[in-house]
Amino acid sequence: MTSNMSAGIHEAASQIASSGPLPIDSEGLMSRCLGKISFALMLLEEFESSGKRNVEKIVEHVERNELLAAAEAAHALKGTAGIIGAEVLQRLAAEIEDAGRGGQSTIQLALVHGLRAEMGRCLDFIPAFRSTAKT
Amino acid sequence: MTIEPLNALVVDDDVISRKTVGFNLEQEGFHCAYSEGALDALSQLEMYQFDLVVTDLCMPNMHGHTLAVEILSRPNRPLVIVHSGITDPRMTRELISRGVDDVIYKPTNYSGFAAKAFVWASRHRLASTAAVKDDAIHANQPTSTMAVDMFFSATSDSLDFSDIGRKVQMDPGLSAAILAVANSTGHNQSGNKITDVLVALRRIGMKKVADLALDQIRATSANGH
Repeated sequence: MTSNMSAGIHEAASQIASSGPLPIDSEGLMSRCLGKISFALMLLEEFESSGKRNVEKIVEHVERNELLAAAEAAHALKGTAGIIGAEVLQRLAAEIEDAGRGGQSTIQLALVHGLRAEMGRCLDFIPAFRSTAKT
Repeated sequence: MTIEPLNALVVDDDVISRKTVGFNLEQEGFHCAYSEGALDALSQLEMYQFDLVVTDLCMPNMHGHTLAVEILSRPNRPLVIVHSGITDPRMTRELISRGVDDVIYKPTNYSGFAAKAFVWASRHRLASTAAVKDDAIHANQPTSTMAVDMFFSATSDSLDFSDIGRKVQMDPGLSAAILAVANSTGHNQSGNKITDVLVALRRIGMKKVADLALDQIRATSANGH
């Protein structure tokens, strides 16, 4: 039954992602959750609130040119995004962390806007994942 | 004898990391406690006995590195595994050289990690128990040590059947279990009884051998040998 539900989720995910790569690797997420959809949904719920908060924190720190603080927030987001399977988000967060720790005088605003947009894609993906899981 | 499950403490300020590690450890049979930071973890370590501590590094108030070093200085310490997004090999080298038992990077294969942690923690508890009893570990637990070796051999990428066969033959309990499976109707419908362990190994496959070795490790751990 779980595998049927997982297959449904992957199918829905593919449809959602028809315009580009998946914002969240649902197969990887389900694997980390040992196929337990209730646990995956609980993690995604946490991610919806903590991930969004972290992105806003990064944006604020970058706008104030607080590079180390931005790097620390990006480090936290990188870990969370990796576990959720949000690979592009994870990569962008890693780039911001590296830039913040690397002694650069600024972090490219384009990078931060990219991060925010990618978080938006992840958040848009979650309701579809959730509704497929519940059917 | 009372069966005492393995106890783990998962320390991470990030709830998703904490829950993912704990969830996978619990599926392996660990009882898990959780801390959002190093200071709370130290309080829990004062109150309870743990077999395993999995800690993040970057946490507010006290860094996970400080926590790990503090735990490592204790007698009868638990296994300490660092779970971090810091992949700099210099940090890994520093942690391992101080005595941290392993460093894993976020994200990892959590079910695989939990399976390894179970074997390590079981072995660690066996060693601790033996040390407390002032017994020689290798003389005290030949069966479990062999089962652990077997498990790693059977799951190795480079299989050496004759080496595995030799190890199995040194463990009568595991040999009997393997022969029993090989002679079950699922694996042997010919009616000719298999008595050669090497033939039995090939018949049931290495995955099943690893499962049987793991069962034996669990049984040994549960019996407190």
